[in-house]
Amino acid sequence: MPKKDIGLGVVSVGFGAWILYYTAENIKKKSAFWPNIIGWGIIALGVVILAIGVFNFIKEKKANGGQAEKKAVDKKAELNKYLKVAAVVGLLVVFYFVFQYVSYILATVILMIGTSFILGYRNWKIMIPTALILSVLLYVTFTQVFHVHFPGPFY
Amino acid sequence: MKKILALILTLVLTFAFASTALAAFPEKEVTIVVPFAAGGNVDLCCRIIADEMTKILGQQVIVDDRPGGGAIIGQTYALGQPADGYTMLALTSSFVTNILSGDTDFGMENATAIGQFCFDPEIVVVGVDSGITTIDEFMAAAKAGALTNSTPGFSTSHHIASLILTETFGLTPFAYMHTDGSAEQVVQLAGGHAQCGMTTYGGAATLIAEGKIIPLAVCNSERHQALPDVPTMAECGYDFVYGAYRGFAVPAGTPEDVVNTLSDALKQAMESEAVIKAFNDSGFPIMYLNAADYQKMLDEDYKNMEAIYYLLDEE
Amino acid sequence: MLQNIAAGFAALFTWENILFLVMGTLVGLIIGALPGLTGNMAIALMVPITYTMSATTGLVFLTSIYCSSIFGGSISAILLGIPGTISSFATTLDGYPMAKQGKAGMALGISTISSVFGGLFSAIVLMFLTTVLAEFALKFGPAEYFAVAVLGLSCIASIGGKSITKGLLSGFIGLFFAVIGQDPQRGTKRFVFDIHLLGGVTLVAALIGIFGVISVLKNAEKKSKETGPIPEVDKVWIGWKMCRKLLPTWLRGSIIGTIIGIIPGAGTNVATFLAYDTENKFNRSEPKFGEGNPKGVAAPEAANNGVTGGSMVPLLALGVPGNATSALFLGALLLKGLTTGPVLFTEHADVAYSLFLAFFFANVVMAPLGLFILRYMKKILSIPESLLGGIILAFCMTGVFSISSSSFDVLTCIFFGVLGYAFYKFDIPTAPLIVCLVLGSMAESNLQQALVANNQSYSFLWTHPIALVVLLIALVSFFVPIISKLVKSTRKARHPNTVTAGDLAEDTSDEMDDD
Repeated sequence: MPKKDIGLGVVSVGFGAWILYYTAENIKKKSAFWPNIIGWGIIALGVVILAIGVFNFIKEKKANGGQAEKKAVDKKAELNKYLKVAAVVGLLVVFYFVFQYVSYILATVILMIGTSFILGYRNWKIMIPTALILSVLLYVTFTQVFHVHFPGPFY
Repeated sequence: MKKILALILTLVLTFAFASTALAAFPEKEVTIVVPFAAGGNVDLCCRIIADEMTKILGQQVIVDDRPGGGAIIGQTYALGQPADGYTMLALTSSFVTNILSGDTDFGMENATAIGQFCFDPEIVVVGVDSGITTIDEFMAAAKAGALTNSTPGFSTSHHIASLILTETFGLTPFAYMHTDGSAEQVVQLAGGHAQCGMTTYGGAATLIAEGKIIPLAVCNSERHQALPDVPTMAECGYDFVYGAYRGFAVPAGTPEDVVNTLSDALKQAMESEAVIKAFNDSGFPIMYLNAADYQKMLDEDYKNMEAIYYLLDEE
Repeated sequence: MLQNIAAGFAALFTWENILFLVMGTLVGLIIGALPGLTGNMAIALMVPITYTMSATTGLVFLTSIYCSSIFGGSISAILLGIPGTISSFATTLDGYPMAKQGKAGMALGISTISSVFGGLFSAIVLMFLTTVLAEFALKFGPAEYFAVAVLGLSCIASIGGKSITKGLLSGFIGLFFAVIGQDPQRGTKRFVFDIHLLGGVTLVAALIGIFGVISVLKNAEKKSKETGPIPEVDKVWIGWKMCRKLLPTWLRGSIIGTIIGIIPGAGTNVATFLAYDTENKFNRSEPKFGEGNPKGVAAPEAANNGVTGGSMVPLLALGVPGNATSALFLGALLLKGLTTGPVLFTEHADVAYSLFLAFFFANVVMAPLGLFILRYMKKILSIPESLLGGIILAFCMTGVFSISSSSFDVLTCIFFGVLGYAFYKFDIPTAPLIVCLVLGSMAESNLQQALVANNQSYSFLWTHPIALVVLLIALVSFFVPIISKLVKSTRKARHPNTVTAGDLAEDTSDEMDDD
């Protein structure tokens, strides 16, 4: 936990500093008032979080030193977790490109089946028809009822 | 039997092909791209006209709202469509200001005018608490010192009208309060939070009728039909015409006959009873200009705007 | 007056009107429940249909869509944890935890009855107090708008979870995203990395990203076996006892909603934040807010339907639409050749009063229809989470695209989904980010306007009585929760036998794990 806070503190200070830097470089003085407040605010909060993190880190270390080993065992499961999350995000990006340049229905089917698969759903007999019917239904409703035009050249 | 069937089929097919080749524009639905949110004035105008143009063209005319980026998103989208007349852009004064801002990929040359359907003249208004009652008093006060001026947003036509007014008559630059939309603007004026502003009739109609907002003069060559007692700027000795104009354009390179068909359809629509009534009821003044006149007007507006654009860029 | 009401009744009660009332309610419910689709969009689509109707029928139809779409937003907020619009964001905070605890039926029931209560309250206010309250709307200048925005922002202190610093950090990051786009007063471009950002970050896209996308990402983290048993779904009707318990909450929520709804532009969003926050501060009952307290659903739902009537006040009395939806109503009225303002009440009293009554009956119809439909809607929860995940994403992406046919909004949504996931990993609450993103530019823009009106002097802070009072309330509302949190944590620190500083940090993470 404290390690995370230390990381967050550092990131926040960096982010705040970037806001201030960008503002100084690109934004005229009168419009810079608000961004500057925000930049300094984020830096200040980052420093506080960092300080709390360091404080707790030292305290925890004094209390028990053996915790680090226990965490190492979980690393593989942890990595697996993040891979799954990354895969879902990847699917969303795929959706973004496919629906824009190819076809909305195809993109939606890929997104639905892919996500459900990653989440651990394996009943194909339900999954495939659901994805097909829903995506066609969505397409028809949005184009016909809501007059939304999807950008892809195919349906 | 089979032969006859085949013959019929070929006949039908040839006929179908021939008819597509010969068919006059339009043969599928026409889309009007509105670069503003649904429910706004431009959207409302376009929906009224689209209904009528559907009847005239014999094809569905639909409105597609693509708001965002100060109208740049919708404008870029519409002008990027094939130049076949099936996509029209609802073109307003923001087209010119956007090009001057340098943020657009398109220029004046990328659009071909179809026609103008509405010219909504700016009206100089003051809140009842300002103590100003005539345009002469207003001009005197505005020369003497900075008045607070409420607008519906930075670089909106009301804001630009105020800037041009300042420039033309050598007024002290206004202290601008840019609100978020015309609803907030008129409340600021009626509530006495700002002294003056420029607005069009529609947004302030009720508050004018209630006497909370006082219209001083209309920036047009003739009086406003809903405000027959309010003089024009010219009548008061100030030569000043400015307003929000609305029209249609298509991507440059659209065939001339297609442009003419659309332009004629627009003219017919604007002369129809249904549109005239709907526009009158909504407070949008009809002013039709054909393709050539509208193009000329746009080019003139570009020149005028270019001259005062530095005012927008200043701190 | 009574005569007018009678005339309104006569105009309202025809078979045609009743049919459109029911139809509008159904349309609104469904559209409101779909993430990304709003009542505003539904009404914009329906306005052309009303061209051919009589004035009364058209207004009845639009009114019923307006009222029920606001309520419909709570359905996806409660069942899936995805607020389809900003006005149902606050409902998610307690509604979703309730659903997770197997109280989805109860949460939906509360949201229905609360919406109806808020709607009826505002309809009555609209009917009797329109002209009086319209004057109130005119009192709001930039100083007052600024104060209201600050009051809305002040609730981040109490909805930010246990860690003050992380709550504030989330808020500041929200303010940063609110800055993106053009400076509202000077047109200066700030952090505009893409032309699509010129008008700022699309709020609803960010909202759906942070709630919709992230809910699926959280599911992806779990091992497939962990998909626990489907929560029991109890009855939708909540019983009279609960109603009595919630009555004070409803009253406060409705009053806040109606009053804030009257202020043009401030609208629905601030009202729901404030109603939620007020109840949070007054609440003494368990469970805590954010962990599935019924009042956390009742307050914002009463408030957002309170707004419906409130937003019509300035429209009818002054011809000034209070929000985007009432702007559409203005268009519909004008197209019927009706003018707004006092003239409407004198010359077209039958239309005016049937509009009031339509607001009243739209809410009455909503209760049975809502409860009936929800009985089936809650079945969504019996779909396995793993299958539902894909469906949720498809609906979210489609809904987000349809806001303004912009692929960039889809990217925004994905971005905020990933950002929300990072927040989750670092135990940062997301609610303050949303509040600040919604209110940030309102606060900045009005502060600058107030300074312009006051020759760059900050004296307006104490020369405008309404602004002063509201700002003082905001200060109290901001600092009281912070101080009480600090007191609690120092107390804990003084008794290290019970809790250590390490546990304190652990606390924050537990509370974030809502599943």
